[in-house]
Amino acid sequence: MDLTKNRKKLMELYQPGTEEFTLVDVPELPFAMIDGEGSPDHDAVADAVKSLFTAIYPIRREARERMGKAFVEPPVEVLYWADDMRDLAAGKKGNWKWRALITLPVWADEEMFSNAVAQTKGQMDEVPNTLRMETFSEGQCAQIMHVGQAQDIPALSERLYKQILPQNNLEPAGAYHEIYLDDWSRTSPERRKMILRQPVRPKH
Amino acid sequence: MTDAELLLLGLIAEMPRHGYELEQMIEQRGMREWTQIGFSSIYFVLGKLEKALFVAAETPAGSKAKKAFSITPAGRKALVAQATEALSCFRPAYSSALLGMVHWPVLSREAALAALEDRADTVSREIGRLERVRFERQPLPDFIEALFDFSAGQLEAEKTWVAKTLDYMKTKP
Repeated sequence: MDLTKNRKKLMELYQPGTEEFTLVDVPELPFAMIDGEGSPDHDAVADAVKSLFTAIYPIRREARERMGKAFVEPPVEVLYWADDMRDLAAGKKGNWKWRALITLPVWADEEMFSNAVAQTKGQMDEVPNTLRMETFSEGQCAQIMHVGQAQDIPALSERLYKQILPQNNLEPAGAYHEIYLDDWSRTSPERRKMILRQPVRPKH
Repeated sequence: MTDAELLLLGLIAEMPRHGYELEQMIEQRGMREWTQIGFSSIYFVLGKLEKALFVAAETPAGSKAKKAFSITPAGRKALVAQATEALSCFRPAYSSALLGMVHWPVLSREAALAALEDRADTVSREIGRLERVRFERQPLPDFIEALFDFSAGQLEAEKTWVAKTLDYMKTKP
């Protein structure tokens, strides 16, 4: 879906309310991505994010030129999961897996992506072997906007997994997703906005 | 308020920062590309901002490098006023090209043309350098991309002017 042509959906996906979890249907979108394993400490994810932004620079540049005022800065998104999902809930970060993502314009294709990587790989210390472009759709998700410190997140997760999902007869159906709307080097911790998103499905 | 004061006040407004962090930010963001602020002057400027009650040191007294500075309500008000003024007021920057051109008759035709050719090379190199810096700094927020667009636009305008002037001066009988 071309979100730049559907501002309503764009807002729905990227500007949820801060009060309560809401359900949204996340359409198919193209992403540039890099996978990681083990503790997603800030440096590990930051390196992946830097590589992603380096790799997609030619596409981002073309997007700014082609789209003009319709261009929207894509945020950094990270999926978190574990082979045993209980490790995720228990915060056993050593067993976590993660995937750093940045949305691409709908007109970006595999060829454009590989050209971009070919052009920029000289600037990456090492081209991550999981660097790729993929299109996926998360489908139905529960999400909320969180403003503030990361330490407040466990309380929100608890509310989602222990109250809201069971009350609505839903269960998690995919990796837990965080979308970071601010540049952390420019925004103080208490003002940082992030979206917490969890794909869900009806519980049988 | 000086440019350096406005710059530091803006960085402190983002979040409380230590003196050495400010230096890091200025370096990382390449702020010395377009403004003059020496390493030694950071503490001097911080002192001025503190005295004006625009920033306050958060932690107990110690060396200035260890103090975290945060913005005060008065500081935020001054920042907004100064940033508005900086954005709205046109402040002309005079290029050395003007000073050179005014003395065109002093130079021999060859020397003048060669000097302009040199300028064309320098401008082209600068366009390339700016492009590399922009790439290395990715990702940049849109308002910083706009800042790069501004500088790139100025350079492109200069490149066009040099080419046009060279073309004319070379053809002139």
